[in-house]
Amino acid sequence: MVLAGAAPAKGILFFAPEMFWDFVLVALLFVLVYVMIRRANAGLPIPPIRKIAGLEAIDEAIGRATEMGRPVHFTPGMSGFGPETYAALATLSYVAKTAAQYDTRLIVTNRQPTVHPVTAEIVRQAYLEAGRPDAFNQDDVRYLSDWQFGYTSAVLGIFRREKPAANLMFGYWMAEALILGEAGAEAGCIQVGANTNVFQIHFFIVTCDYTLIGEEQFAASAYLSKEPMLTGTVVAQDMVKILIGLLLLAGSVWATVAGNADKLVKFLSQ
Amino acid sequence: MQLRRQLPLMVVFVTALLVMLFKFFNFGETGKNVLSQMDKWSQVTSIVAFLLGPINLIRLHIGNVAKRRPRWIHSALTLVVIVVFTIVFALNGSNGKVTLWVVNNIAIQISGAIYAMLGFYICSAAYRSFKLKNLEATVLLLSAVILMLAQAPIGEAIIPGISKWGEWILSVPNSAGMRGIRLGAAIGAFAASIRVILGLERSWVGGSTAD
Repeated sequence: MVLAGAAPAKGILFFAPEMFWDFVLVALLFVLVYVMIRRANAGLPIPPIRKIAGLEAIDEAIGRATEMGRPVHFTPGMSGFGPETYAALATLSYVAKTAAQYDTRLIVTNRQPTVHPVTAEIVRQAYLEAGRPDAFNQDDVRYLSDWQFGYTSAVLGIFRREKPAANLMFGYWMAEALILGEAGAEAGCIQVGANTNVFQIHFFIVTCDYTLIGEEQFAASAYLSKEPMLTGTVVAQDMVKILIGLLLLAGSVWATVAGNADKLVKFLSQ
Repeated sequence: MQLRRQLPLMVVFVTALLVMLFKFFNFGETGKNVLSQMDKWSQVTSIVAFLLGPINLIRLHIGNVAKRRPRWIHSALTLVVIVVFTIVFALNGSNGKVTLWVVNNIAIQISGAIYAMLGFYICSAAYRSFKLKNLEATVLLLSAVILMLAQAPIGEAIIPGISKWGEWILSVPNSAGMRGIRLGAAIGAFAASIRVILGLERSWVGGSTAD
């Protein structure tokens, strides 16, 4: 007996199944980003980003390390290339430039072998831009281990041996978040942690002096560079967030009044 | 020099455009094949790049040993381990008997020991964060006490109905907070990706952002 297969799902017009509203959302963000770039280029005002304590604290952390004559430790997190890592790399660029200007030793540790050469290049370039190419030590940008806890134990060793005064943990973190945060606190580091993993953020909150929660990390490049164009993209992102918030509110009201919001869910799943 | 920075930006832009095109629009089997092929290219590129990490590791430790830097003996040990593991893996394969013995009896055990440190660190972190410093810490402490009692069998014996309070904390304020953070992070990641695709965010190619 031959069983009839389920009919392939069809999308709206020429869109792939269940991709229409995804496309609308992406297109909307692109349009808003474009509008904000145009505004920035035309010199029109762009709303400023609110104060983010964790990013403000980076200068304080590097300053403290400089005064104590001890190194700064920076890590771009556990994941390979993704939004969190790109945000961490943007922060690294700023940290490396500041460390180069202050003549403070910067140790960068990597778990991902693919991310390692990029961090090395960012730090090298930062020292070059700061006019101190001779101060760049490639041995301070290290690949440690691809193994999660191999990497963790190697960083614990660095905390013990090299005694950094500041520990900056950006990117995406998993079960090692608490181990590294607590070991950093024990080593007496001023710590800034950033994470988007909701199951691990609280560990950074209790162990770090400053924590960037979720999206705050993605605003780092705009916040630190103060570039109107980049700030504009954060504003565009907030506009989409407001829109989604309104949609959530509408869905809640709909579900409360009608008993469920199945029709809305079905409509938005097209 | 200019091309060295422009080329990766162009590759990212074109790749992102292609992925979005084949994801959003219905090209049938062709679309699926193109995406699968691009995924394979990504894996191959990652494997090639994978070599760069161990090369850096070996270079660093050879330098430590050659220059007799402090604790150079640790570096020598690391190099011996790298060489021995490479030989074992090369001769025995990734699923060979000796390889699995090494992985199961050495690597996983050490890894497990590091992971187990979490138990101690949770205690020290809890001690520090549960101090009644301010209103937020007080709320955290109360929630934690209720949740711990709700999860432990003795909790219900001390305060009947406490498991319901614990359930409420987990499913209402906790879930709402987590979803809020997830939503914000997802949209943030989305906007960050657009910055990378459009070349506004270019620190990853070793330059200033939006310069």
